[in-house]
Amino acid sequence: MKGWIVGFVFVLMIVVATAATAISDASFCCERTDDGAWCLNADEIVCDDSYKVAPTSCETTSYCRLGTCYESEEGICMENTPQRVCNDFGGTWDARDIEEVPQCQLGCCIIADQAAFVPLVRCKRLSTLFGVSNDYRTGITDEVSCIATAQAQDVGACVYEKDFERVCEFTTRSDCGAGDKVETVNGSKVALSSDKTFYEDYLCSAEELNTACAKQTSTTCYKGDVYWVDSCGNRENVYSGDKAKSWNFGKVLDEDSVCKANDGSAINCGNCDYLLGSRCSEWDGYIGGPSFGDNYCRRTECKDRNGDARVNGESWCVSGSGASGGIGYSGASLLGNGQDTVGSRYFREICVDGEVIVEPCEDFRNEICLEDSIPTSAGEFGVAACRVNRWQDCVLQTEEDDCLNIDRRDCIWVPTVTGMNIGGGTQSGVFTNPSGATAFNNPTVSGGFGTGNVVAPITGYASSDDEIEETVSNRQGGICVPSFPPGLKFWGETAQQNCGIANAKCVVVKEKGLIGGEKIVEGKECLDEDWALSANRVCAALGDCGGYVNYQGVYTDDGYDWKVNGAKREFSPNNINIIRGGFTGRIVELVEKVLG
Amino acid sequence: MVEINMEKKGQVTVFVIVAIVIVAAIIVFLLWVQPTYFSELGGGLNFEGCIEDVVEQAIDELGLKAGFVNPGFTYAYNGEQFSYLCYTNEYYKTCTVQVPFLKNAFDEQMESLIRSKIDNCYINSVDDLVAQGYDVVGGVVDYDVLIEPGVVRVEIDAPTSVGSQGFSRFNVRVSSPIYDMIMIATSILQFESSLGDSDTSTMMGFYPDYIVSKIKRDDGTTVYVLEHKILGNKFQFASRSLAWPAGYVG
Repeated sequence: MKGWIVGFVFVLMIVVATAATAISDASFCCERTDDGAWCLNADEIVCDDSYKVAPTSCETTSYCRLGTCYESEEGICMENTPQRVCNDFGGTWDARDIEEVPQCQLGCCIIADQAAFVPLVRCKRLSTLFGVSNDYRTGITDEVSCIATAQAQDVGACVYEKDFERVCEFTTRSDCGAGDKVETVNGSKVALSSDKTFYEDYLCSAEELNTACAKQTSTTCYKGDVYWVDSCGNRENVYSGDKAKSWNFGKVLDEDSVCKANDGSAINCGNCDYLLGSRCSEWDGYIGGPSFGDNYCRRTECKDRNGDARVNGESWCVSGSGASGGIGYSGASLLGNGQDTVGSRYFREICVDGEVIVEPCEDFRNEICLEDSIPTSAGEFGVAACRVNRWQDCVLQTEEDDCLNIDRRDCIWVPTVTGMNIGGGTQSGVFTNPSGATAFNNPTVSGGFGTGNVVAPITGYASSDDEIEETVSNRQGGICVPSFPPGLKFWGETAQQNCGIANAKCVVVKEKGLIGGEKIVEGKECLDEDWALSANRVCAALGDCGGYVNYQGVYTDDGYDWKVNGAKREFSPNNINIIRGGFTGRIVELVEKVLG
Repeated sequence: MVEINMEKKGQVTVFVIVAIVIVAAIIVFLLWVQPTYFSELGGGLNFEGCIEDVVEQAIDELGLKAGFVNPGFTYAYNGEQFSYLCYTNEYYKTCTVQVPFLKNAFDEQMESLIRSKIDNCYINSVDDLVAQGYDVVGGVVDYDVLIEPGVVRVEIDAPTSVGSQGFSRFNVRVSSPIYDMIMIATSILQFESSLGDSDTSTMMGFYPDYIVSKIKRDDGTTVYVLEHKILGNKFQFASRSLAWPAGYVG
């Protein structure tokens, strides 16, 4: 009997469980290092001799124990601060968590019609800086309620007599300090008094109040909208070219009742809308400006990489090159689903005042970009954010339900591949490379150092041994791989270990016939190139491994070894096109062996 | 009668002479001695202007280095050194705060940075007065820097006598957004030290006059650059918090 051993070897090795969490061999706690950093676990040699050093972790030392640091002048609290650092900068250190430190308890600080969710001391400081009375409410325990409280405050005219003149300030009831009594205006005149009187919902220019403030003399920007301002400098209602409507007989009028929120197209409506892309701005042109005043709702928009208009404040995701900032590879669909290209990275882009700001997510695809949208009257308002890529324990999952648990991880479940073993035959999470690291040969290393431009992906190891005489797989039901494959430092040794986690070897058994000829009795599917293609897909999904395209769309096949009976094989042009399209192949070693 | 009239005429003459002398003395005092007032002394001799220039330069310089004249622990990026304000050299951990109160540090560093320059402003001012013929006696200059929303104030105590006049207090105000920028940076640090990251969109929403740029580097360092859209002031720093290793091996 004669047989072949068709071996596909993809060896990817992870050392997840033993992954060191430190960059260096940190066995000492330096209170301060030679380069000026405080409290690092590092080698003794980098510690500053004039400060404390101990052969232990900083968490166990008294001098580098972290706690909460608060400062009584500005009222600022910082956590994760060593005691020495806190004291040196004039703070008071507390070993407790920030939530347990009384001075750092958050409350609602009302500053006129604005709000801040801050500690009491900070509130006092802000009140002093802005010249308003301190209004701190400990009963409000969340920021949203705090803001809502500030916005819901009564506003109106605060009238009093000063230097024989009737003075008016448009403010909140609490800031006026006139008490809770609601003053009403009967008739056309009100009595003079040296006490402050609060007239709810009245503008200072209301004729009944008999103040010296003349209505609508200029405009100003306030909370992103355009407002009229009276001659005393008090804010009035939202600006409108229809002055009478905006003035509303001297009474407060809701901004939407003045004019409809606009995207900047209505030059004489000051009701700007952030989600529509308009924000109050000063008019710097000569003609075509607002009928009154110098402020208007300015529409700022940007063009994204696809040429689509994005309004101010909108953010969205892109994937591409960290070096050029562009999407080098046109395959924008190659995101997630185990198909991220080698060297690619996620970015968030933000439209700020007509300019697109590029904000990279964590490198090596340790962060991904997620986006959503808020429906508005003018269409969708995009919002995006970088979020941690939870790929780390995908390969440890052997059950599909666990693999696809999106609350825990970002993984996909792919069909199993004959002869595929993940983690060198173990499922414990501690992996070893059965072939040894020296067997790796990454031909793309030279010339690629330090550029960040991965020329070709690293592939698994192709074993040339013929010790395995039967096809064995430890992922028979399917294979769990990262949805967003992590990037690897292909120029380092760890990449070789990383790509060694998967191992695929298939034995094809042939039986000699009595009258000659051969009949394949086992592993026939492994002779098909599709088998290699499937293995390569698993490999590429595990990281920057396998034969695949990089972020510039360049395909390289030097990242894998596919051997059949010791002879190196390569993917056919047709399958290379499939890989370029986002479907990855397999890596194969085929070894011929006579079984009988 | 004649004698009496003569006496009256003499008295009038004396009164007139005395009046002329008094008026002349006042005119001489006003025009020649020139009482020098606090504001005139400073403004007229560019003392305040000199200090304003010094303060503005100091704010610009310190802002680029997160408030440190000679930052020791920095991250090099694009040819610039960014002070680490929060740092850990480990993976998966939030950072240890290196500078808990930026405003205090900025205050302190600024005072040391401008000390010699303020002294020079003062000395030059005194020299100018002396050159103009004034009798000037200078004293030791002491000052305090106060950073507040929209303004940086420098309160200078410089006991000085010019002729018979004595002055001591000088107040200089420089419009600057540095307070807000420091508070934005403080807020970012609070997020970095507790959550390992920060949301720049929220910051820019709260502070529409500023651009907050965040650049994540491959070693886990995040570079922050705060910039005032109109004035162009910058405040930049670095942080390394909740860093992740590349691939499966830490």
